[in-house]
Amino acid sequence: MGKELERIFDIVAQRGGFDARMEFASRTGLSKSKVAKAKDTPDLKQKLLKIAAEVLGREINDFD
Amino acid sequence: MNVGFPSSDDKGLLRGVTLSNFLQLVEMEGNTCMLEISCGRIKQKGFLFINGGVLFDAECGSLFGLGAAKEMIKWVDVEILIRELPKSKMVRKIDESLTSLILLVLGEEKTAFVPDESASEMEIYDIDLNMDKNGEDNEKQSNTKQETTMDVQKLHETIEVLKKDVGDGLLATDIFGAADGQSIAGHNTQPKASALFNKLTDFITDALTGSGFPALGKYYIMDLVDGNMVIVIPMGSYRWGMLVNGEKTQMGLLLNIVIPKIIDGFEEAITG
Repeated sequence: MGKELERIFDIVAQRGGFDARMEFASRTGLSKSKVAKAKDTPDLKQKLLKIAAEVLGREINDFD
Repeated sequence: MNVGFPSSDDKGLLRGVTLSNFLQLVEMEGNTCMLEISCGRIKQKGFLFINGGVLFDAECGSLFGLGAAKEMIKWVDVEILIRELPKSKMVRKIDESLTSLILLVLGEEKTAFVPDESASEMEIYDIDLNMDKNGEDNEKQSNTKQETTMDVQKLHETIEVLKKDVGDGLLATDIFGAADGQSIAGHNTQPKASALFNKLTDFITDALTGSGFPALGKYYIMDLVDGNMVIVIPMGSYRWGMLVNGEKTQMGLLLNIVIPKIIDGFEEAITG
């Protein structure tokens, strides 16, 4: 459940620090623990990746 | 008397001010004083004992310490008499900072706290985790701006996790606003350190940018004498600072287990 979504949170923190992760959480309105309980749907994943790219200022090309 | 407030008469009596606003000013200025608070509406009186902008103790009727302070912060339409801090009241009996305490009381009264203007102005997406199997979500809803609120109770629970996991090694900790350096929650709070380390973090961020170096990652650590360490974690609109004794703290546990755990907790507090 939500393993890929959780990984997006980790990538954001790894590449932008907790500064970026908190901005990501604020903009999505989601926490890592909340997405852990959600389903990894392709649409949700794409949506989060899009916001992550906006927060980091660069695409996450190596996700898959 | 180590106070320098404007007063409405020669005795240092203030009327028509909001107690919570006044207390934040006292904290910011680092004043030392005893405040005699009177509330005409409920005909009660109490005392706040403040040393260097830090709330040391409080008394109100049969209440003492934290309970008394929380009770008085709820009062409206108060008179504040500024007096010299008695030497007998130099022992700190309250851990929370004044700002933290005000937020705690507001949280208990179920008042939503908006972190700061920049956070509420950000473009915020309201993502529905319960999208149907086809992934058809409501685009209008997903792009609607929403107000970010802080779960103050969750914030305090996260501080408790840190206190429990680090134990005696945790000497002090504060979560403070990146915009103003004001502590919003903590343990053995250090208002001056919060303000100064906030400026330092800005300086480090600028220095890295100016040097063309990679940006600050998850945190920075300062090695201090006698085995002590300062860790500062930038977290968007907030920053989390902690003073730990490295000889009493398992640093691997702190950095790899405890910090990720408290970051998760803080994230839950800001996302509700």
